[in-house]
Amino acid sequence: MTDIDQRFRSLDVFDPPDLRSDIVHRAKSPAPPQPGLRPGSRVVAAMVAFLVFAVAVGLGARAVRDAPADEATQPPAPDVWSALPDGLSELPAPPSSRAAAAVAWTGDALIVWGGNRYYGDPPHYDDGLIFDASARRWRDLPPSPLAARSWPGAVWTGSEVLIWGGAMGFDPGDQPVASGAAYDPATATWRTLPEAPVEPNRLVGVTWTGAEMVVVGERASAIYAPATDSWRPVTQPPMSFDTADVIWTGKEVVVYGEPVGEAGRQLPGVADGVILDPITGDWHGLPPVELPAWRGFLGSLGIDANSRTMIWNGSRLIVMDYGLRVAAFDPVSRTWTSLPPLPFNSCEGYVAAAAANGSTFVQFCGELAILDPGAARWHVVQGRGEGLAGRSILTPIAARGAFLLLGSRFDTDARQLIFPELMVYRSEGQGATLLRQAWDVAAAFGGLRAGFPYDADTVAPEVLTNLSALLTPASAAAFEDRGSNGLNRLWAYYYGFEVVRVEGTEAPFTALVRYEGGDGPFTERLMIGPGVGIDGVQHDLVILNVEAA
Amino acid sequence: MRPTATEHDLPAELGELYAEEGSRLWRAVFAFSGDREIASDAVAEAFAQCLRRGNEIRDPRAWVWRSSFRVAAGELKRRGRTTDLIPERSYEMTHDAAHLLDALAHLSPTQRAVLVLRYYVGEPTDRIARLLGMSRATVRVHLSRGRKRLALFLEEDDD
Repeated sequence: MTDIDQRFRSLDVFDPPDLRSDIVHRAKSPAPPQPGLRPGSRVVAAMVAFLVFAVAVGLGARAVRDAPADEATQPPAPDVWSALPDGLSELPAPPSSRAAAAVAWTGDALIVWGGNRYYGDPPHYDDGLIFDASARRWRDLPPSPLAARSWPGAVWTGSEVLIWGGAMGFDPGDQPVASGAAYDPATATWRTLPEAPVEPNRLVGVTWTGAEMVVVGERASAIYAPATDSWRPVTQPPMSFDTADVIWTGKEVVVYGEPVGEAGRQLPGVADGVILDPITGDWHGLPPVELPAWRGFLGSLGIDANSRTMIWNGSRLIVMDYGLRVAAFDPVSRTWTSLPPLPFNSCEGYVAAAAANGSTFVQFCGELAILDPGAARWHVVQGRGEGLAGRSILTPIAARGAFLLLGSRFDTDARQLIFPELMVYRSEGQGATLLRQAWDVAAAFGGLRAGFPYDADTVAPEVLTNLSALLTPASAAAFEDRGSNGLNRLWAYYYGFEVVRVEGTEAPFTALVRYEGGDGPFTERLMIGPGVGIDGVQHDLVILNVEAA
Repeated sequence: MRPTATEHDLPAELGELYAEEGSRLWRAVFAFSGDREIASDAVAEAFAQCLRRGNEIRDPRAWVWRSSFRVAAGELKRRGRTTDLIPERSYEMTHDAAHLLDALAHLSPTQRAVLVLRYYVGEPTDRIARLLGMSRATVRVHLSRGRKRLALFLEEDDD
């Protein structure tokens, strides 16, 4: 018996409860009711959710992120969101919630179709909803010609929403379907797509190239052209994917995610992605991510490929991982560069992101942050404990220069999604208050420290560079002098960092922060105001001092 | 045909399955979730749905294992939106068990699931792949990375 086997044998000490009465009671209880049921109609029970196992999460999120490629660079449309203030605003809530649905933004409306109640359990739905952004109103979609399903892919072509694939079982690989339809919001009509030259197989993802829909499946892929209403086959990627993001960069299709299959892993120089030239049908490898930050923090630990997220921000591919590390790939220079880590608190969750107008907007465990073009650090839109706490789902969708957030909560007793909601975020840019910018400083500091222990000798240079813009020599010394939670000790022993709140009416502001793990938790106050950083540069806001709370 | 449940007892076939698998399944889901309540809820719900669906389910054993992990994963994800994954402690917890749960908490959900199924339940790669709805190659990747990461945190605890 190996050491690891012996470790797991220690679990035998636990004495499970006798669940037999509970099982019989549950089995006899009627299925929990669903809100908003209408007699004689199909149930629209819940909005987009990703309450499925990790494999399903990536795929579900992809449907949402997969806005048309030009959405990333689409200019704001004042006629749609002009009446709303910058920042986060509530919009009319959807009439109900659903999980694993197809979602597409059409430029002035949000379309949601299919999905299921929760966990991939039946029923799967064959109906949908549409939100008119100008009228601020939800209504039902007309009946579709498609059979019910979950995890379908969806793209907006400029005139139609194409919905393709999906599955009717527990997860995207369980009872997959190979059929699709197109919905034209101008005429409120559906048409059925022709039969595709692929057998039903797990849908990895879909993307719109501006002329064609590229469908990448686990075992078979194809390309659909609305202009000719026809399909053409495409060779399978040289590596197989379990879950992946399929993205159109304006020139190529990038498939990036969790590769499976020995052949894929043996491709020289290929890490986790491949690129398709849709004209020639040729695939080649995406240069592997090789960043000091990733090597320093995650290299020896292994990156959780199942939890990576990639989006296109209009000029670069942005990759975020389970450890909240961020990197950008420039498809022109074929190079990777590091970006500041996501400024989120420790949490067991997955990143969901969208990009518009060059900005990258990210949701993680109910916290929101945005990285605007040229910004040196992430701006925290919502921190932990602020208004969006408790959401089970909060899906960002790029929408005409702003970001929609489709949210819901999960009722464990009723085992269903409740409280559907829709919000919109308009970037505050330079309009963010100094108080909120102080939050950004505290969160950026936490983002550099939280997550994984490291060896000071191997810490990535960019981490130290970023720190030098956040700390003054005095505050750095204050951290080091504190025996219980000096910088190195915090990095080595504490995995959680939470910005509890930031207070003050003018600088210096006070950020109350909390560290988890080790023999903590500890709380401290960071004084944040104008000062000269370790980098020798005068900053509007920098951490001036630290004291025990 | 599978008999229906009486007022207090599970039908014989499901009762046997519970007797054979219930404890091990609960411990596995507990190790995966780090939470007794989640483990109990997931296992009870999986068996209850199995009971409700009767003959629709061809392989009840595989079904309850798969469903238990699926329900627990969903609940973990829901709770994860608002709380950290911090394994609970109890009087019965030994030093080794506590360290193992602490170390598992540092892994991704998928890594935790495959490690628990391999090293506690003893399932081969093929069965883990079927239970978790992923390919064998994917299971191997998560096993490899999960092992490395678990070892790192176990060593840290040992220090």
